[in-house]
Amino acid sequence: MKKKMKLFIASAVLTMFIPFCSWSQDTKFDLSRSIEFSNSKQTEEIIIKTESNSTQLYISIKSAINQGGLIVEIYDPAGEKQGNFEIESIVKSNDGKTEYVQGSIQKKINVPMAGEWKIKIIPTNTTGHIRIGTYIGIPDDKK
Amino acid sequence: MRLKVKHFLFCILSFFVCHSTIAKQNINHSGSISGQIHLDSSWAPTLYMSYIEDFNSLYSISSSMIIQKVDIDNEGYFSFDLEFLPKEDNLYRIHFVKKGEPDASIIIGGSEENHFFIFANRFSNIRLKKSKEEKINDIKILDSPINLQFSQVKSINNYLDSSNIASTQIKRTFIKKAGYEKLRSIADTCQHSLLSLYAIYSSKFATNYNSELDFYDNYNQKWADEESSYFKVFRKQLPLKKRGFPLLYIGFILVGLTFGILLGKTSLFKRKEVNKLSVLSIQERKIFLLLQEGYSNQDISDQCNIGVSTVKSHVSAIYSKLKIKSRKEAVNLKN
Repeated sequence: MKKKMKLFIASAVLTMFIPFCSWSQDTKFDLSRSIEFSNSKQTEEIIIKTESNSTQLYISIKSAINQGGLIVEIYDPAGEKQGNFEIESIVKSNDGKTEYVQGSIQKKINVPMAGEWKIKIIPTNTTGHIRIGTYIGIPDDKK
Repeated sequence: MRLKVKHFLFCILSFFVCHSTIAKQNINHSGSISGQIHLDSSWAPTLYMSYIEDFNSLYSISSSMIIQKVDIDNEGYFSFDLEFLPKEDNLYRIHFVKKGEPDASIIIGGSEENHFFIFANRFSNIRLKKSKEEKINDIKILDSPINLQFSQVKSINNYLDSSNIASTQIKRTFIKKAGYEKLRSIADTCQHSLLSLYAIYSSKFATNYNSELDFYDNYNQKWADEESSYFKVFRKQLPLKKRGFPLLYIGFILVGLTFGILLGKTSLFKRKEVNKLSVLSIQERKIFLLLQEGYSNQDISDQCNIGVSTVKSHVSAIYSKLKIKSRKEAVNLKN
């Protein structure tokens, strides 16, 4: 009976640990940034560094503006554009009503090129915000 | 003999009746984009159609780009009327938005991508179908051979852009190179100018232009007569050639210039001026007509529901396309 109990506990412990072990093979490092614009004109660049052992790069950008325009571009380390969008808010009348415009992009790259990925944010008299989230997957043993 | 005459008259009459009916149909016939789209309850039951002026603006959005908005009924049916579109094919984007979100919202990538593109003209009759389970990229386009070809080019493009293309960097480079070659080959053989140009854009021409100079020379020659905004923007984007400039070319240009000046004085050239407005986009044409009526930038902004800065940019584009320098010239220009 004791033996059976031990076996049961051992298998329960193993069952609990196996998923954790396989999950921890690929740890993700997060970066999240939020930028508010108030009649902004200044271009910003966000750099994401990936290593040669990075297993995945995930980029999520969400933006909403109610004045001006906003261009967002994603470049890989070789300088090739990998994604972009452009939004423009148009003031409809002089009674103070403004129009919201939204743009978002999601990009998932497996085994990303090593180096500096660049997110270029170009506002034009912009009022609004942008939220950027990036996740880089790295094998656990190389941490 | 009388019977023959009667028979002959009957034939003539039938011909005219048929001919006038067909002609009438051609005048009144305008197309539609219709179909059935099932969206889950998080999406608003409305579709928006935007005009895409060039291939750099695929992912640009503002309310001024939206040219039509239609409701999706309870069974998922909708229909866009195309009677106000130009006769030539242009690229349009159809999108939908989450409930409570602004009309001008674009989501690129991921499971919630909210748009797709379509080539259409005033006479197109295109049917679409999408079930709840299907992704937006899997939308079925029926009755439109050109859009079916477009789907094939897009699927190559999506594949090259996808995350799972290869497990190593070198393999990915090889696959992408082969994919871009395939897209250039499609562009080379495709008879539809805009689809061909879309394939060129998908092949990331800016990164391979200098290594494929002969291809792009031939391509430009093939579509030299294309005057659409898509080709104009493309030509402006082409990098400067790194090759030498032979004296023979200069000779040709000089002869061409002389010939052009002489031709400018003939009536043939003047007749072409009449069609100048065809180079303008739909929005630019609308603004041009308001300019001719003497409206100020502010008036046009109010009339078209767009910002004054957007009006200015349109006016500047109109001046450049029509080669004029002032409103006075715009008023004097006959359309």
